[in-house]
Amino acid sequence: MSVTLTIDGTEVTVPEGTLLVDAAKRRGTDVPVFCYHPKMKPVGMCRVCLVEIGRPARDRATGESLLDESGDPLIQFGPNLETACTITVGQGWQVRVSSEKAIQGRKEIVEYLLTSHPLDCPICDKGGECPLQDLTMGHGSGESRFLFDDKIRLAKRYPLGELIFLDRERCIQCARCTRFQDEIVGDPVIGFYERGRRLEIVTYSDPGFDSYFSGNTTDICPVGALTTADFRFGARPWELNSAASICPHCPVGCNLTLSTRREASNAGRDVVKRVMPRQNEQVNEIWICDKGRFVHHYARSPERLTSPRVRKNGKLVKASWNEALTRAAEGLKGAASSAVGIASGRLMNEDLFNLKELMAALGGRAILVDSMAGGNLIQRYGVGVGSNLGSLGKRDAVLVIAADLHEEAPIWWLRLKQAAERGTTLIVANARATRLDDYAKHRVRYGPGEAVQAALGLLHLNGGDPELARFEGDRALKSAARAIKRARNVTIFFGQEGLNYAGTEALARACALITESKGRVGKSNNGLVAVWPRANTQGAWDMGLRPEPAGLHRALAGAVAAYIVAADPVGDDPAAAAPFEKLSTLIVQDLFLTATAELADVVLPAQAFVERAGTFTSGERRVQRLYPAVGALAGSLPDWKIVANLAHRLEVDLEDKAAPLVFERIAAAVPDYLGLSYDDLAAVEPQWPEVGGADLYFGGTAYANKQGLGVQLAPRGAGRPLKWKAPPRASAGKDLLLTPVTVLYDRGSALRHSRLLEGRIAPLQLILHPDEIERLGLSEAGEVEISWDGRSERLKFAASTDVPPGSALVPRGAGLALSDPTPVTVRRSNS
Amino acid sequence: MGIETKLGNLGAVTTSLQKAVGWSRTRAMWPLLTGLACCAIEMMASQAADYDMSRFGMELMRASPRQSDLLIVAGRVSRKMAPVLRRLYDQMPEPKWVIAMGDCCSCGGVFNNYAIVPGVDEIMPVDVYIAGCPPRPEGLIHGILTLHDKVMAEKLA
Amino acid sequence: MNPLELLRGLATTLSMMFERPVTYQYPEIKRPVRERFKGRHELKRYDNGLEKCIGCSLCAAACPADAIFVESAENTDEERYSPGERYASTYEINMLRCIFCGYCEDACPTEAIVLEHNYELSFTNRRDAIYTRDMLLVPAPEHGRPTPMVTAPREFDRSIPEMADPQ
Repeated sequence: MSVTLTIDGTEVTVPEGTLLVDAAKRRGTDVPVFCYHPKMKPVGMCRVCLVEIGRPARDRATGESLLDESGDPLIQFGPNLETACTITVGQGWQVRVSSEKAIQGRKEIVEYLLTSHPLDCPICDKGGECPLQDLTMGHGSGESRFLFDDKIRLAKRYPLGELIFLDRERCIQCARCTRFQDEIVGDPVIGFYERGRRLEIVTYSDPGFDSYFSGNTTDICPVGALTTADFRFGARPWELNSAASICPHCPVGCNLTLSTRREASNAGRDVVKRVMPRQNEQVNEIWICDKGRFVHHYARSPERLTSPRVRKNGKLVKASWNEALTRAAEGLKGAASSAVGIASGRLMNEDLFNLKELMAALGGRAILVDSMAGGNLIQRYGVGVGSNLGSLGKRDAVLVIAADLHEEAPIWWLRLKQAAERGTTLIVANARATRLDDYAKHRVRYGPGEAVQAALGLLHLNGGDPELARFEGDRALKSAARAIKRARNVTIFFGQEGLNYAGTEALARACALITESKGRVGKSNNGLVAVWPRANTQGAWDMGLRPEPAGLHRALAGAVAAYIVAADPVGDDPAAAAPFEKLSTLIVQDLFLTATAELADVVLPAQAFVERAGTFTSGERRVQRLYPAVGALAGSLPDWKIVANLAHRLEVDLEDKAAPLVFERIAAAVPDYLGLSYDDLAAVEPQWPEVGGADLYFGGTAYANKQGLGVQLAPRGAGRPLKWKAPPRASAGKDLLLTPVTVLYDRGSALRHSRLLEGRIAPLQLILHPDEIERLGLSEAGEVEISWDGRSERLKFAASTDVPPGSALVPRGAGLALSDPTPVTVRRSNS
Repeated sequence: MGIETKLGNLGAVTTSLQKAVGWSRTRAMWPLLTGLACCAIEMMASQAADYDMSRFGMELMRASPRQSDLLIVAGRVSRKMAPVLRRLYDQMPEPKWVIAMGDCCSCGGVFNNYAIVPGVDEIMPVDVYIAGCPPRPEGLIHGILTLHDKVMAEKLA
Repeated sequence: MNPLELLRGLATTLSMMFERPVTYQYPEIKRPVRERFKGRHELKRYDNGLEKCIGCSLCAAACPADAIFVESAENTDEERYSPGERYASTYEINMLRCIFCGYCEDACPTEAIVLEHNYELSFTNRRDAIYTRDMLLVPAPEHGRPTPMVTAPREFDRSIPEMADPQ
C-alpha cells in the first residue's frame, strides 16, 4: 500500500506507515531533526521538526470527504504545528515544511534549545560538523531574548568511561545516545537521571559506559556533548582529509573512513586522527565497534620496523633492502620445493595471491596459520549474492553455532540482534551461554566440544542421512530443526569455539548439508558464513592458501626455508619455536619485531592497513577495497611488493608495480574473482537512510559511501555431492576440556600498542564453574596449575556459571599458548 | 674564490682581504631593474627620496643584467616569467645575489595554483627572503642589510 | 624663453638646498607606523599570565594563505596554559606565507592573536620564517605567572572568560 501526499506543493508517493520526516527526506526536503534518527524509533523530544499538516476534511456524521467549491477535497489545517518525526503519512495530506508559520515555530525551538547551550563552538570538537550549529544558521533568530548570565553552568568534562567524555552543558537532551544503547545495542548502560534542567546522562556500569559500541553515540550525538577520548581536541573537522578503508580486525569487513591530518609530531606528515564508520547498509550500516574505532594507533607505534634486518654473526642487524632480499632469495632458492610460505588472514588478497604464486613457482607450499576449516565449502555453499542481514524478516532464520558473535564479530551480533527483534528466528547453539542467547528463539546447548554432534542432529532432523539418527538431540534441538525446516531463508554462522581443525571441518560440512537439504544453495540470505579469526581468512582460502590440518610443526617437518608473512606462530606459542630454529633460512615479514622475527635470518618491514591499497574479502564474501590514508612509514613496503621483489630475484614473474595490477592478475586467475576490477569494487549506489551529507542532523556524522560498496561473490553451488563427517572423538576423561574462547579485546599486537583500550584487555585467567572450584577445593583468590602434554602453567582463576560442566574456559590470545581445545589437569597451585 | 688554495693560508692577510672585499661588495651593489608585480611599487618607493637606497651604495638600478650584482625578485613569478627570470640571472656576472622580496616569490604566498611558481628558489638560489605582502620599503632595506651581513660573512676560500 | 622664469626656477631649486632632507634615516631612525599597521603577530596573555589562545584553529581556517598551523591539547589544573579545556600545543605561523591581512585577528574569539608593529622580517632561509608558539607568545605580564601554571580546580573552566587584560 502506498500513500500519496503533497509536501510543499510537490506530490510524493511513499509506502504506508512512512514517517512524515522520512517522506519529506525522500522527496529531498530536509525537515530539521535532533532527536529523530532514521535507525531508531521516534520519540518527539526536541520538537524541532515542526510542520504544518493539512488533512482532508470529512463530514463528522457520514464520514464522507468534504469538497470545496471547485470539487477538490477540502483540506483542513490544524491550529498548531505538529512534529513530522512522530506522524506517519496519510492519503491526500498537504504538508507545509517551509511555510512562514512552520519556520517561525522551528526558529523558536532553536532559540529555546540555545538558552542553555554554551557558546563554546570554538573549542567544541563537533564545531564544523554540528547539526545544532547548522540549524542555528538556518533557523536561528540571530539574537536571543534570554539573558546570557542566566545560562546554566554544568560540568564540562565528565568522563562516562575512559573512552567517552560528556560535556553536560552541551547536551540538548535528545536521548539519541541512550536510545541507541537501549534500542539498537541492547546495552542500556547509560541513561537519564533527574528531570528538566537538572537532567543529566549517567552511566550505570563499571567500568563506565561498558559497551562495545560506545563510540557510535558520538557520531549520532547532534551536538558536541559526547566526545571520544581518542579524538578529543584532536583537530577541527574542516581540517581533516578522509580516505576510505576497511576494518582489518574481524571478518565483518566494516567500511571505514579514516580522517587524517598532517601533524607536527609526525614531521608535518599525515596521521590518522580518527576512525569513522562509512555507510554500507549491507555490511555495517552506519555502525562500527570500539575495537575498530580505537585501536588504529598501532600503525603509528614507534616499535614498527623501519628497515630490513639480516642475521650476521648470530645477531639481527639493519640492512638495505637489496641485501635483505638477496639473502632471502638465496635461502629460498636453496630450499626450492622444501620452502614453506606461511601467512595469516591479516593480509590482503593481493599479498596472498603473490605469496601463493611465488610458492607455487618454487614448488613449495603456501600455508594459512589459522586452525579453522571450511573456506572451500564457503566457496560452494556461501551466502548468495544480495545477502543482507539487514533485510532478514519474519520468515527467515539464522543459525549461529559454536561462535560468540558479540566477542568475535560485534557488528554481526548487532545486526542479528536487530533481525531477531524484527521477527527473524534466531537459533543459537553453543556449549555455553553467550550474549546472543538473549535474543534467540531457540537455544541449543551441547556438551563441551560437541558442536558437530548438534549440527549433525539438525541435519538429521532436516531430512539427512538415516545413519545420523544417533545424533538426534533434545527437545531444543528438535524445535530448532523444525524452525530451520520451516524458514524461507536460512543463514548459518559457524565458528570454531571448542573445536580443532578436524572439528570445524566436520561442522562446516554439516552446516553445508543443512543448507543443501532444502535446495537453498546459492540463494540470497541462504548459506554459510564462517566466523573467521581474521579479516581476510576467506580471501586467503580463495587465493589458494590452506591450513595444515596437523598443525604447523608438521608443515615445517621437511622444510629447509620458511617465509612467514603477517603471522607470529612463536609469539602465539613459545614452545613451537624449535622447528623454526632448525630451518636453514627463516624469513619473517611483519610490522613489528615479533617473537618469530627474533628467530629469523631475514626480517622485512611491511606496511599497515592505513598506508595500503588493497582488497579484503569479508566473511560474507564481499570483496571490498581499501585506499591508502597516510604516507607509508619510511623503509616499509606493501607485502605484495616485497613478495614480488623477492620473486624477481628468483626469476619468477610477479606484479610489482601497483595493487590494481596485482588485482588484475587475480581477476584473470582466481575462479570466483574472474573479471572483477577495482572499478567494480568502487561502484556505489544511493543508500537509505542518507547520512553524512550536508544535513548531518538526519543520520549523524558517519561518512557517506562514495568510495565503493564492494562486490559480493556468488557461491559456486553444490556441485559434486558432499558427505558428512563424523565428529572427532573428544576424550577429556577425568580432565577438564580447556576451551579457548575469543574475546574482542585480546592481547594481540593491535591492542597492545593502543593505550586507550589497555584497561579493557581481557585478563589471562582460567574461568571455572563454581562447582568445579568447589570440587577442586580452591580458595577464593589464588592460582591454579594446569598441565597438559607434559607442559604446565600457573594461572589466576575466576568463577562463572556459564562454563559448561566438564570444561574450563580461557580467553584466546591472552597469553596462554593454546589454540585448540585441550584436555588439561587442573590442580591447586602449591605456592 | 679559491684564493687560499692558490696562495696557502695567509692568516691575518686573508682575513683583512676578506673584510675589504666584503666591504667593497656591499658598498656598491647594483640591483637589476626588474619588477614583476605589486612588490615592485614598494621597491620603486625604496629607491625614491623618502627611503633612498643610494645611501647603501645602490646608486643605480641597472636595466642590464650584465651591469648588476643583485636581483631583487619583486612580485609573484608566473610559470611564463620563470625562464625569462632565470635567463636574466644567468646573464648577471659573478658574484651575484638574489633577494626574494615578498611572500609570492619567497614561497608562492597566497597562490596555490598551476600558474605561479611556488617560490623563486625553485629556479635560482635565493640569499634573503623578505616577508610581507608587499614588504614596506623599510622591510626591503632590512632585507638588504641582512644580505650585507651575509656578504660580509662570506669567506674567500 | 624668459630668463626671469629660468631664474625663478633655479631659485626654487636653490631654496631646496636649505630644506632638511626628506629621507628617513632607516635603520638608524625608525619612523613609527600607524596605529592600525599590521606587522608581525603576537599571541597575547591575560593579566594573570594565562594565554588567551585556546587552540580553536579558527585563525588557521580564516587564513587565506594557509600560513597558520595549530594543534591543540587538553589543559589540566596541574598544567594549565589557557582558561578552559583546550590550548594550543603547537602554534606556527609561516611569515613568508602570511599576507598580513589580519583575518586571523578578526576570527579570533579571544583576541589572542594581534598583528603588531614589527615589519623587520627577512630571513636567509625559509625555515627561519616559521615562527613557533614560543616566539609568538608575549612574555608573562608583571602580575602574571608564566605558563604552564598550576591552578585551583574549576577556577578556569571557561574558554572565553571575563578576565583582565594586562594594563
